[in-house]
Amino acid sequence: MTGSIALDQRLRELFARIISREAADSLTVDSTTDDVAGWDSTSFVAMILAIEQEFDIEVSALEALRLQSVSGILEMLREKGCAG
Amino acid sequence: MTGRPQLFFGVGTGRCGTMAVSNALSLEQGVVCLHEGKRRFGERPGPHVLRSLTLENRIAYEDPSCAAEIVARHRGAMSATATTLGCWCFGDIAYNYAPMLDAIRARYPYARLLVFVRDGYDFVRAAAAVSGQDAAPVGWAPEGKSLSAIEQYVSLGRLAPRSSDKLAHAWPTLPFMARNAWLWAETNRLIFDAIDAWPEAQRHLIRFEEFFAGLPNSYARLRGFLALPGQPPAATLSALRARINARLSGNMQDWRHWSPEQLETFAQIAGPMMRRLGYELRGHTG
Repeated sequence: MTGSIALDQRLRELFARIISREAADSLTVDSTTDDVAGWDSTSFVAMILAIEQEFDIEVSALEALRLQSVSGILEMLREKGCAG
Repeated sequence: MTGRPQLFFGVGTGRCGTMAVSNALSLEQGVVCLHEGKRRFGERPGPHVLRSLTLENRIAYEDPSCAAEIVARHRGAMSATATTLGCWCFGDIAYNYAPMLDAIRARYPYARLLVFVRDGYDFVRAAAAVSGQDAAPVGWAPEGKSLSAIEQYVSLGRLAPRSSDKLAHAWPTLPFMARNAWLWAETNRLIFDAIDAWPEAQRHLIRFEEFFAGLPNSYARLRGFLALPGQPPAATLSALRARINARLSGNMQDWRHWSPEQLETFAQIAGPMMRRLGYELRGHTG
């Protein structure tokens, strides 16, 4: 992934906790809901809630629509000042 | 049959007969009709053949300039998919095509379009389960209802007023029946504003009430529109009469039980579209 090392690690841990360790280990910046096993309509909302909690941010419904890819998540976190 | 597969798309508000029609068409020889990207075998859901566009529905609504890219990315290989499936006639019916009809028409100018409409009162009544988990969460749920993960996911992609809409400010406090009246009216507005770009010979209106009351002739007209050869398989009529997904309890009450305030709210929000579609406003004095 191309966030900071610390950011990448926090995101991977969220994926491991919400989806699976395999999913977390397979992540790249190009990963999307189409190609990560288990990142589906059931886990999608749980991931958003976990991101809100982990990074202490609020994600609006419109922002959530962009979170179908790792790059979209990283971009939103950068915009919200969580990239450090 | 040789040459390019015949493609069609179907669109409606949801809860307007799409699943029954999809099931019936898929019983036809050489036809595959998906429902929201998914194959179905009667009551039994099959695998996703095309990606669900649940979230893209809202993305394309908020920013129509995204629609062409969404269609190209997720519906850009319809003919190849039809070939893989071994069918000569291939389609997908989904409420979430409403904000993408211009993009679909631009990408597939030869495709045909099925347009489903249903009386707004009945849509509002049936759009959301008042209690219990909603297996088909088409509409906005009652205020304060606890939602499952799937219901929450679908709600992210459901249309809501854009920030520029006059209802946007009041939206968080609107009762769910008012939200669903808006959802019905706005989805139909998107559809009926877009379909003029489709030649009449390439679009077919399925009015829920007339279609199901008028079987089998109404289905014969649909078959004619899609140029399906021969006679329909014997099972198609029972597929159309099976009320798949119909909730027999847990719905909001029929409009006859609505309060005068609810009837007025419905008329204010959905009245113009009711008239445009030829439906009568009921119990409304204004």
